[in-house]
Amino acid sequence: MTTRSRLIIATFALLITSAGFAQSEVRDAEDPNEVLKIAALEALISAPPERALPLVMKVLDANNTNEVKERALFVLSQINLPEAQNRLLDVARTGDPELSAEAVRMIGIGGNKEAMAGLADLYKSGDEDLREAVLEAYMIAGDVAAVNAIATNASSVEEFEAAVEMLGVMGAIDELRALSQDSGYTEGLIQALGIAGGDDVNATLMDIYRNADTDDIREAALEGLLISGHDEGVLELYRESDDIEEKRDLLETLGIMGSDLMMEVIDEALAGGA
Amino acid sequence: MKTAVHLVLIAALVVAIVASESHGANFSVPAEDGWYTWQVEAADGSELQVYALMESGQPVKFRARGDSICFSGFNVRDARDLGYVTADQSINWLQGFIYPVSDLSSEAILLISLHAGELPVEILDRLLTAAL
Repeated sequence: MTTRSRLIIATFALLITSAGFAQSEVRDAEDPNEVLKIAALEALISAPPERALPLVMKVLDANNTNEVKERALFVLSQINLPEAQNRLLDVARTGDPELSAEAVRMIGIGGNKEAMAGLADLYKSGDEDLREAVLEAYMIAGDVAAVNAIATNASSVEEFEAAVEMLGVMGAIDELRALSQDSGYTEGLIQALGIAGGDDVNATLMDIYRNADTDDIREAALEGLLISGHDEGVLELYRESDDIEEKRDLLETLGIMGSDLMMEVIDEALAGGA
Repeated sequence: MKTAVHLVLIAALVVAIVASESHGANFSVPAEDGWYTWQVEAADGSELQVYALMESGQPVKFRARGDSICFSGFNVRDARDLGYVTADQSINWLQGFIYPVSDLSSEAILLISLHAGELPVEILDRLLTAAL
């Protein structure tokens, strides 16, 4: 990390801290030492990495609260030295569960290539929380290939859907479409497409809705349209349908979306009634 | 005669140095209300412009500006310029506002960290190990 970026981050932290204090003041209930430690850790970002590292290590080794240690992990993620990245991996592997997951996320924030490479093993050996943290780290680092590999090699539906959802968050439409070639459009894939959004996705969701073999798939497509905010598509489906129950569901979806198109439907209904 | 002149010059020089050091050791921002600013060497070797807003004899805000630092929305035109101050002098004044812990503590700590020299890291070290 360059001095320039450290200074910018420090200034940013100063701004955030100032704003935070302006809103919340220093509460009497907070341990003053802890308040100062957190401020010192944030300030440490502007220190030379080789000077900051031993101090951060000391904080992690000492009997500090998890909140303080979590801030220390963030500082560690900004220190682009092998010792810092190795320590993050150590905490991720052996720390208490809360700190372990935070260390994993920090590896994602830091984006260090070697540390990122260590996440694959952590994912394989980790529990559900750690796996979720690894997926988040990949998302933060924008590592679509790693998430796609997890989805491709998933050994359970839950694991597949968690990875697919993350692909949706990452906007990895091509990967989601490719996965559908193998498994067909599952509910998870459809919702992930909705999360990814976009005109192409909206058209796909409309097709899936119209050609759905099951109610579950149709519902998932509608949910995808809801998530992507494609109210014009929902209105189109409403107009196409002759089924009262289905029309009700579609209208309800428009209502949940807070769409102005609801008024068009109401106007049409009133005109029809007249 | 020459020796006398030399002695006078040396004495004047000593007085100037002592006066300068005395002023430096006791650097403080005037108590009158308003913004004050001074320049110090920044951690990256560039010049850092430090600002303090004084109210009723006490600082209530700290800000900074420099080559690598941009404070969005911060614009003080009528700050009283206190000139160039060494980083340690500036730090020594700022660290007086870390305790008791208040809104200003974090601002002081972060501002200190932007200064050049060894002192910022020493202060951060002390704060981080305070209750260990």
